[in-house]
Amino acid sequence: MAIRVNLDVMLAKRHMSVNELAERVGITAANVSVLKNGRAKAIRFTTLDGICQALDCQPGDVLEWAER
Amino acid sequence: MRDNDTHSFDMSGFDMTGTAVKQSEQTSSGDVSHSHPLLISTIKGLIVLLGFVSLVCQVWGLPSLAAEIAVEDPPHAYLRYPYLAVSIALIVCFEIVLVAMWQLLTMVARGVVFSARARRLVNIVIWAAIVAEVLFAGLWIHGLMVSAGPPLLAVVLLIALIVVLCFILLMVVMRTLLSAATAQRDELEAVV
Repeated sequence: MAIRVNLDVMLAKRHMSVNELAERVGITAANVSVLKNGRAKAIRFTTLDGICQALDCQPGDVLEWAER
Repeated sequence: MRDNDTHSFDMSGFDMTGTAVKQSEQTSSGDVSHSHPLLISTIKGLIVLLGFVSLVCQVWGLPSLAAEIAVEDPPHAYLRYPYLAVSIALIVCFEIVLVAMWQLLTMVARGVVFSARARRLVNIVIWAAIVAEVLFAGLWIHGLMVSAGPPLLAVVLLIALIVVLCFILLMVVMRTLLSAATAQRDELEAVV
């Protein structure tokens, strides 16, 4: 994927577990794993909003564009 | 295919192909709650009724009708068994459609109708209707050629031909709608 999800970095910075993030954002832990492992094909703005709120960060902190 | 694996994810809780796992409050429960359980049970009840009626026709009604007509119309008595066979085959087509409809309704109730399996069931319905159309056409043309049966029969058969043709065309349109909805659904499933 050209768009990388750096969720694991932010989770480590905030000392937050996948399950805790899932609970705060209101999505399943399985879906957080999908995002974290870069297997997601698309993300809802509401999910992104929830993640930014839970991790107190900007979308740019979790999303990154990279050359293939 | 896709629909099958998104399903198994519900069980395992994990997704191995990159498709987003279904979320209870977002995409998947939407159509389950809109599935009208009472409506579906009513239609299923009617399907059972129609299935019973068609079975009675096959096993008892048509054979006795054929015997009766053969006695009343001796010149055409040789048509008793061929016509009976075609009529029974027609009802088999109808029953196949009923069974497929039943399965589609079950899928609607579970909210899993937008899938390749539903498309296969619709294909079965369409093919059963096409076979019925051919059988109706054969009966109609043969009936006109040998002028068997009352004139009303030819009219009834013509109406049946038109109705079944309309049904086939409608089902083909519905199938394209189902495919389009399935494609959109699959795309939305991948959204986290």
